[in-house]
Amino acid sequence: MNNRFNNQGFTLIELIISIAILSIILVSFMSLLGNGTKNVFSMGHKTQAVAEAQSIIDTVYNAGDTSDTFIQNIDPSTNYQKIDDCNLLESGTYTYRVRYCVEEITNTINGNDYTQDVISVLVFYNNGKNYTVVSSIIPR
Amino acid sequence: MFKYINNNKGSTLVMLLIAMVVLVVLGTSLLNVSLAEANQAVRQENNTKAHYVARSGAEIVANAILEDQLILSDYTYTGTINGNNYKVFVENVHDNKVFKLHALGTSNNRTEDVFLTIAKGDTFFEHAIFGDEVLGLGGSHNTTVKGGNVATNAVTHTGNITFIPSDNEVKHEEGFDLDPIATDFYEDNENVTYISEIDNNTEDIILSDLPSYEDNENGDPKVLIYTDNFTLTGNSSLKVIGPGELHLLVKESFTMSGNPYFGSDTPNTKIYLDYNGTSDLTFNGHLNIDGYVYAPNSTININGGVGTIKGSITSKKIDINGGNFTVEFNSEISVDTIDVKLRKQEWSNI
Repeated sequence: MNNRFNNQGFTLIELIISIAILSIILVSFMSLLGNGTKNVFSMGHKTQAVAEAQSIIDTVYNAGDTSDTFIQNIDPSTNYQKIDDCNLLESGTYTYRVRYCVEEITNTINGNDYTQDVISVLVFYNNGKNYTVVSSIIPR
Repeated sequence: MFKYINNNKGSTLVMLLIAMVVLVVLGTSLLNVSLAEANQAVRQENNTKAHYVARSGAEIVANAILEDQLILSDYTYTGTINGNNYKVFVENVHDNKVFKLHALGTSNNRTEDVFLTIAKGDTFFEHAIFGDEVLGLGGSHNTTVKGGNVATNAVTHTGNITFIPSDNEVKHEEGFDLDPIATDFYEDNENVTYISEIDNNTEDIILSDLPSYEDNENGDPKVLIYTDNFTLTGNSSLKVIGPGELHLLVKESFTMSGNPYFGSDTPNTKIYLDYNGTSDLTFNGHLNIDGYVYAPNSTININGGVGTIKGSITSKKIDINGGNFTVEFNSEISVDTIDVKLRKQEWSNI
């Protein structure tokens, strides 16, 4: 019966030890939780970047116009950085969020050569740390 | 009993374990969500890239087919776009007239496919009057268009025209390319009738008396005639007596001046006038045609006269300055003598 009203709490040592153990566990989980959250946001930005590249390509595709004047006016609030050499599209430093390049490719079908334009659109996300590139033929 | 319930000794370990379990569960689920999100985003990115690669492959092959009107059967073409592979398979679905392109695109092991149908069809005979480059409706003409539209590939046109019903309209930049007349179909056909000059002395054309290249759905003859020049003047008359179909190819010049008559009064008689010359095709007098007037290389000039065309008037340029014509649109038009080009029809997922 005496134990029923036992008001004795934890000893200071018990508390310190448990807080210390909890802290170690929390700190180790914090990085996991933090990285997970960061990853979720990062992937959201990736999806947005892909959608933006897709939207640019569809606009150019529907208009059939690969001129710089047309592309650079798709959205007046966006800077579209033209890269002359498509081999250099993914190199260089991050200046503008959106880059593009247009090149001609020639395919031989049934013995004849056919030349068409290919547009590649690169969109950076996560403040330029990552990017996605989508390419498509634009019929003339 | 109570001795054990209220005994708190050793409870720190239990609480610690509970806290750890809760954190592990939370952490693991967040990790799962984040990994799933990452996988989904990467998958979606690759699907998008693969889709554009597949569509590009289809466009590359379609471009070749359309540019040179290639007939490809069970043909496979592979290539790459920005390092991603595509493979296009062309199936000749119907007698060199319908082709189905199945294109597969790949990006980092994700594959997407698209289908594109290319077919002969969708011609410019969707309009009562179609002027490819120019549509002039000036002067004091009194032309009425019934049941159809008037269209041009030009950005603008001049003048007005009367529509019944009145909500039909003149359309611009329709994007239809005029196909050439299949002159080989006339000249190489063993049942063609050649008349060097059709003029005031030419007798009425009785379709049942001429060789037929095939029967139409009513069992009536389909007749091919070609001539170098067609000239009717004064009060001359040239009647086509059916029933049946007359496809008339005029190769160099077509003139109707004065008050001549050309056409048919007999029911179920179709007249398809293919004019392949480049000089103006001039109408005056009386015209009564159930079919079409087609002049892909020249200007149709209507300065006077009267008549009815049930079907379509289509030419490179149209200049209507006078006359009292009615054009009743009829989509039931035979394109036997037109070299209808293959055109993109539709994209699909199956």
